[in-house]
Amino acid sequence: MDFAKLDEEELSYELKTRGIAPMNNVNEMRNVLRGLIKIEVEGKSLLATDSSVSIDVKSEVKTCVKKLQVINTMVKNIKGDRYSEHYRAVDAKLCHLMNRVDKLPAVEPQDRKDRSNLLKGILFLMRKMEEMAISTTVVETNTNTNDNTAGTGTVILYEKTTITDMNSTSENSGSVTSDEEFGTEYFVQQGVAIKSLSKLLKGSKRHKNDSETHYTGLLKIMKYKTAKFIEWKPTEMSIFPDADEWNIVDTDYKQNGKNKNDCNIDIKINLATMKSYKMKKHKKHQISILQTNGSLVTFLFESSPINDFVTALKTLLHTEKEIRHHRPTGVILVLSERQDSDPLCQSIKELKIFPDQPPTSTVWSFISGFQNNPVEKTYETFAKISDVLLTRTPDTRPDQEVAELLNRVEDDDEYTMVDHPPSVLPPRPVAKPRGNPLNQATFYQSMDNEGRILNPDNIKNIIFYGGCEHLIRYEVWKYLLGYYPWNSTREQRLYIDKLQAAEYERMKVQWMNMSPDQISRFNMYRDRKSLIDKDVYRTDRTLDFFAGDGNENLVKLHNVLMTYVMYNFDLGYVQGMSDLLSPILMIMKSDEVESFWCFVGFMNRVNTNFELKQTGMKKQLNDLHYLLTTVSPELENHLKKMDSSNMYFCFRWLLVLFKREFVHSDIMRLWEVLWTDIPCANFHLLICVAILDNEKDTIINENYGLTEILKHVNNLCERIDLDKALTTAYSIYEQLKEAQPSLQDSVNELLGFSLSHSDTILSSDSNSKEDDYEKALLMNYL
Amino acid sequence: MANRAVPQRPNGQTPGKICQFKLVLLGESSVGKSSLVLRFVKGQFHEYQESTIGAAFLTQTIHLNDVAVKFEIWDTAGQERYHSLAPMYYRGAQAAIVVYDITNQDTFERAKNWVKELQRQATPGIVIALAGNKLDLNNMRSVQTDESQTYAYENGLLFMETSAKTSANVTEIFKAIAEKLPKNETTNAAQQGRRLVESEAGNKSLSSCCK
Repeated sequence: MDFAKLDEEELSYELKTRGIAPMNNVNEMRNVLRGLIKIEVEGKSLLATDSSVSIDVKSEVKTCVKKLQVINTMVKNIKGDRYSEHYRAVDAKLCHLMNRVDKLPAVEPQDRKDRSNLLKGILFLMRKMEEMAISTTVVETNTNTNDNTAGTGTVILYEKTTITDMNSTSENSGSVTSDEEFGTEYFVQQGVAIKSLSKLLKGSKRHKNDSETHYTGLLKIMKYKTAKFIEWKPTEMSIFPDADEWNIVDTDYKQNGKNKNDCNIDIKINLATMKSYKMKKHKKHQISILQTNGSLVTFLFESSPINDFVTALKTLLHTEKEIRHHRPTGVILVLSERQDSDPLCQSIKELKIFPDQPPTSTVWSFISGFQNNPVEKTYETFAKISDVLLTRTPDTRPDQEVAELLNRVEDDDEYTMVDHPPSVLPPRPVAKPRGNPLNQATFYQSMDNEGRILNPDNIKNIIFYGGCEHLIRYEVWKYLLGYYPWNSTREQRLYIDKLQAAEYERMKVQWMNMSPDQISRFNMYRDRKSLIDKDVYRTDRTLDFFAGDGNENLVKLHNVLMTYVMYNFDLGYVQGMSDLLSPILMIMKSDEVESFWCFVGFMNRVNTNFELKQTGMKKQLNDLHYLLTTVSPELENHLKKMDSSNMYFCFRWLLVLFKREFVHSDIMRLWEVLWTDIPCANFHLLICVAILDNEKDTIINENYGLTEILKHVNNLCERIDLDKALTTAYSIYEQLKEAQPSLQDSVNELLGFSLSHSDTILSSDSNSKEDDYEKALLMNYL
Repeated sequence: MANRAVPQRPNGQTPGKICQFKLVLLGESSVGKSSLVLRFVKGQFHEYQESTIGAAFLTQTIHLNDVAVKFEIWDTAGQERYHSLAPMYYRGAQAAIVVYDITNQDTFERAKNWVKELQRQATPGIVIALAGNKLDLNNMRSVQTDESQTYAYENGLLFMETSAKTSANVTEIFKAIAEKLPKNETTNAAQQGRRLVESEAGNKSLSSCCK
């Protein structure tokens, strides 16, 4: 902790808690503390915390909350990188607050709750700072004065119309009013950028060297008396030069006369004139909306997932996936607006939601509900809102017309959905040999004296090319799996250990304390437990680590999985998860807490594989099929002939990320490569392609049918050359990169190529992924 | 898909007929589906047989008089979560073994659901066998033989209690299935007589005999 950055009150506190009376001189206090902290960091804690210092909990909580708010504002305004004065000051204050909250004597339940909320707040800010440090040059500023303290990307959803207004809605249907007073907000989202506005406005072609302008604004879905609109208003402007290193020039448009005119544009899209839309979820989420007049608008979602917006749209529109050549193109066709007479609306109506309740109470019940159960509450509220829909006559458009319009914009780079014939790829580059694994010396030398890893990208690169020495996996995996932020200090990591141990214990106690009687009435719990019992018994028992009856590690495997059930009860336990945990438990030296949180990090990456409806798996298999079609059309052709183009023979590979295909030492090497997200998040699919490509001749020459393909692929188990698969996969990646312009949209998207020109927001693929991933992690803490 | 013949490699030594059938194993997780197959196909047993992910495919041929019956066995994952994949595996199957664990009543209930689903959705006339596995754990039994026997009789199923561990009744159950399966369109009367239940329906679709 940098004591130079603390104020007098904070310094006094630090001294008091160490049993030392504060001095009058600030500098003296700093000096004393610097001495003390050195000893503490080295672990020679001869300084027992002075517990005799009496703290008034309530006022202390108040102080801490105030400090948290101050730091929150500071974090938002950080200018410069992690070495800047500003950053370090915030860092120091955060450290101080962390200690302080940690020492809160929380006895009363309310105090404990306060304490836990404060801790979560601190962690939130820590992660936020880390995000900034990772993308060193990113400066995130939110100029909106009504900024919600929960951070950017919060969906604010409320209902503005008064009751009388609602009652009068059915009266006139002829006149369109754009008067905002009468509108109802269905959906509101801040920080949504609009892309290619210039093109939209002037129809001018942008030049590659032009800096792309993104206008950030407020996106809404509004319902007026007779029509519904998607509306967007600019709030600020950012300029992204086409360079790897970039800065946001963030200006409040009101102060910037030059840009004011450009910015002073509201976008309004009548839902009735929407023809189709298409989403991209790679890197930044974005949605392109095509209108009947052929104009195309693309919204970029800065920090929030696009799902809420799309859910809102789907509540209002009848849609259908566009299919061409038996394949979904990714384009969603808008058929018509939903009517009151729709079954959905009808059933909601029957619920009689807004009877005499003042709208404000609806808002507040939503907000409080949102905090407890965001997803459910959002859906519920969407459903409630759709109750006030107006009756309109159906406006179904003929398919042909839709197709025609879509064809017209096929040339637009953002809206291609042509099913390209498989293009001829350039020759595949010679596979580069693997590098040396990350060793202890390199790893520890990459830290500054407070233990921050200075260049995570460099470390990840080494791991991608050569893996990691077994000795340091225990440390490195915790970073790769997001348990430790890359820029955390030693001190912070000690703190994370402490906090997460407590959090783990809390959840573990929940299932451990369940009485047999209670369990007898808890069917869902019983099912999950029984599955875990069955699988723990048979997970990797051939390894020494899990061998023998009464092996302690089996108990730990069981405990972590059971605790994960309490952590994510809806997902529960699904076969395959024990496979994912087993190597982690080994690497974490049987430490339950560390294993658990690393497992959580891993699951955050792959939990869609375990969904009830298998949608995640189906998508992956489908994606794999796309890639294979591009890379190895002749094999794909054979598979198609043999009824195998659903790729189900790769199910096991993807579900547990090759866990069953490689010996234990290899699976560790493979996973750490995948966790780097280099060169793209779907690298595992390229590994599948590489392995299949290697088996291509056998499969085709032997004319294998459906069953033989499955058998052959299953039998490859423990016979695949990992190094070869990795190097081949990477040269396939390079080959595809070369061919990028001629590739299908879907393939480009899968490999992270599609956004490589103007709208690259972060400097590299891995960063972007890291960003999303960190955000996902962050959500776990809140 | 069902009758996509694996290319028959000419084999001069084989007298008589080779019949090929698709057989699928269904049942709750950890009842011993994979173990039954492993015992039948390789004569092995692993105490800690790992869970099946996706599906496994194995083949085994048995001889009934002068007919070689080749089973194409699809072994599936048992957890309810993967239920939605099951139709893909039982589609076109001529036979199924629905397995439960005699020490676990829940698995028996689950087995009944599988039977219902197969009767409703699988190939009409599919030969279904019910296997009460883990007979070696007889002292921990919770599903009584009478109960399963009656259920099987009422639903026209073959029934045996098996143990993949001791290999009790493993080959027998496959053999019983093989006997019940129609060998070709012109099955003679003697073979008909051996069948426990009539299977006049879907003979054509079932048969995948090759000379």
